[in-house]
Amino acid sequence: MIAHEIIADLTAWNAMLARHESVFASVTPGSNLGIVPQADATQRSGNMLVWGRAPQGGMRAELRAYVGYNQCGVDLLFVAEDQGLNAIYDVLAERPLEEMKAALRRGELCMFVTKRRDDLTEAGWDDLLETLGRAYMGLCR
Amino acid sequence: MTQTVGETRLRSLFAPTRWAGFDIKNHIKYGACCVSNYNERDGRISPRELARTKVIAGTGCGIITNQGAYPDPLGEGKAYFRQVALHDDRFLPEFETIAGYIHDAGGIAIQQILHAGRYGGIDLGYCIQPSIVPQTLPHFRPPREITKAQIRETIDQHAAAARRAIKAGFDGTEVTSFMGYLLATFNSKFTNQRTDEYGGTLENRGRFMCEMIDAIKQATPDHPLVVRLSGAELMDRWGGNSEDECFELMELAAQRGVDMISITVGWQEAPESSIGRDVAPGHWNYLARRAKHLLPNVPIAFGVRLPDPKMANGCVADGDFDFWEVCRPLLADPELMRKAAEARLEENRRCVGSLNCLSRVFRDLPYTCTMNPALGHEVEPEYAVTAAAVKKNIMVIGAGPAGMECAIAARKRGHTVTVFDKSDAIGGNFKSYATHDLANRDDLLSVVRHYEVMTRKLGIEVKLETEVNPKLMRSVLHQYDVAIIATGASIDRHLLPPAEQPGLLVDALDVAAGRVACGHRVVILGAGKIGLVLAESLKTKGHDVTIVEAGRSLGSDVQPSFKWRHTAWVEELQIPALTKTRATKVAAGGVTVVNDKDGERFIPADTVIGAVMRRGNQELFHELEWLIDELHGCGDAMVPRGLTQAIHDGYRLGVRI
Repeated sequence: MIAHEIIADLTAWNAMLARHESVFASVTPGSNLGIVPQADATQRSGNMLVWGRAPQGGMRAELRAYVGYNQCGVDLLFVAEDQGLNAIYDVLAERPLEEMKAALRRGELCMFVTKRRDDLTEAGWDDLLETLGRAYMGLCR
Repeated sequence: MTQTVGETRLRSLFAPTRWAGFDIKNHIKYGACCVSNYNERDGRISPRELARTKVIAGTGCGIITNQGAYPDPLGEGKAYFRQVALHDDRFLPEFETIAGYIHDAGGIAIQQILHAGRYGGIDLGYCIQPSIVPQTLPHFRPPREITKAQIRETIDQHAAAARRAIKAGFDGTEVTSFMGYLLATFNSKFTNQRTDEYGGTLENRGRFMCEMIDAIKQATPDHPLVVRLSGAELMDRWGGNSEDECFELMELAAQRGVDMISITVGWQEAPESSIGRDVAPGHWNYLARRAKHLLPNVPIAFGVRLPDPKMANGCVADGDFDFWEVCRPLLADPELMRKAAEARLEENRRCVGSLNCLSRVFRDLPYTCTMNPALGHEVEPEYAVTAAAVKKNIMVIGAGPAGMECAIAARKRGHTVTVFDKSDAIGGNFKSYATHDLANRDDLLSVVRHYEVMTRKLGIEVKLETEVNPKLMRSVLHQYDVAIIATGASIDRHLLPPAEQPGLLVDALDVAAGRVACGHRVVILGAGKIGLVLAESLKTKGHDVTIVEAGRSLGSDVQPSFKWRHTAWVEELQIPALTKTRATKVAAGGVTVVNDKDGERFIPADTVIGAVMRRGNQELFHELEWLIDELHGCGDAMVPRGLTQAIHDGYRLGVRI
């Protein structure tokens, strides 16, 4: 599938977020992350899939315009190659977070942070970062 | 000048040469690869740093690069909590001292100027880089785009810092685009998305570098300038430069008249290893060869994941590069070059790639070295090996790293030392686990070989297959003054579930040591480093392995810079890992496990390996209390941890007795 269709399938993403609520249990209202296809990230225009804590409590997926890093307005931004996005989408009903971790390792997904470590913890992202294998970040290897 | 045996064997490395008008005593450059974090918070060099630098000056390298100093008063270029600064003349006295140390030792002194760019602003709430590309590592600060006025100011600051270094007595300077610092962020497409004359084409991206080279050359016209440049960023997947582009940038630097190019590999945030233990020595040498081929008239320095002087000598002989740039191997053993020159390389304490020298600085801590417990403590006489006031007869119980370090340090001080071990070899449990290491078992086993050599050379008696117990102690009563208990640790069997089928549940150490053979289906209880090492090793040997871990993640006792490697291997090898899962029973051909998600389930197994937390083997503390004058303990016997702590514990005890 093409990347734009994948990120637009909000029903599937919302179902995934509901199934993995425990990973997002600490995410505070107003905190969110974005996933943008690499082509849109390069062009600095297009749509971004946003996961965030809805005012009524649960995690919700929505689409927002993407106009570049500067105005992305999310705590974590995942830039996804088509291959990585497809791999995650293919297992959305099974193990999408494991696949995100694998895509990060394969380099098909790049995670940017727009907040400092302490702020991410405050925002409730520690469980997700741990799940994605990014709990300790800041090293030369 | 007459060459020693070792210098003759490593003729190319030790041959004198000339560079930039200087006579250089050999082809070895001490690289400013690691920032110590030993200094004052305002950037002033501390007595601790001076003591360390004196050791560096004495390593015997022909060129010595002093660690990177940030050039701006605001600290936008400051990457590390206690990094040195060079933005004011008030810092000069200590730099003068360091230049003096290097000259006194016969070296050429180079001062590195390090503006960290994307990784800078450690005391500020932001960093500067060419374009706003967010961090991928949250340790670092949110970026601000550098303005053209700031570019000019930054270049001026670099030139002023270079002038200051020369004023302090340094012979030359170095600027670095290592692993994502400011220069690298301009050169790379990943972080440079500007649309003005400093962005876009490779020539435009390289403009900042060229202007900086020009400015420093003008500021210090009679002194050489080294530029460190990426041979491979390892960031191309995310939009960074390809290797071809890296080499085009080297050509640009060469055209600008730099006096040496030092080649580096990888960014801090690169998705793959560049210098870790999992990268084979020599892996990146092709980059140096390519640079030398491309720029035959520009001296090339190289040493990325090249820890071996013999290999380096071969590279220099073959014309792959001109100077072996070495740092970490000399942290592990400051005597490395002297041992090489005197044909005593078998005594070398090899760098095993634990990367304490790098990963700790991201916790704002001073760097340390697994293999060199005195590193960073040179200013403290308590850490030095000094002659013992009272010569004692010491028995060390346990020939693992803690015991052997203690034995070696104590022997060097003049004590008589006998090491006892119930097994048939030096190395303790560490040796057993090292043979299963997937990253580079030869690195780890070099630690054991070092102990074997040093016991011979120092005359330490080793009594293997000899278990120390009260009976033996009574038989040698009054022969020893001191007993050191370095008996290591064992799996805490109290943490294992009841085993109803005899022989099914086995101890991790027995498996590691080869005393127990595993069946095809293996379940490993515990995903600490011991469990992970065995899981990875058994899986590569064809076993069907499952890991069961009560905690929420794998590798909780693995040091941060290597934890990712284990979890990646578990995934690559497709080893099922059940976290937050507890084993309740080992019986009837398998393990019963339970977790909150799936409830209870049964995993069939031919062998179940207990690899849960360990406890220190401390029984002898009580049994020997009234049988010896002095009784001490060290290493895992006190608190089970790992190689670094064992070595450091043993050494600290050895220099104190």
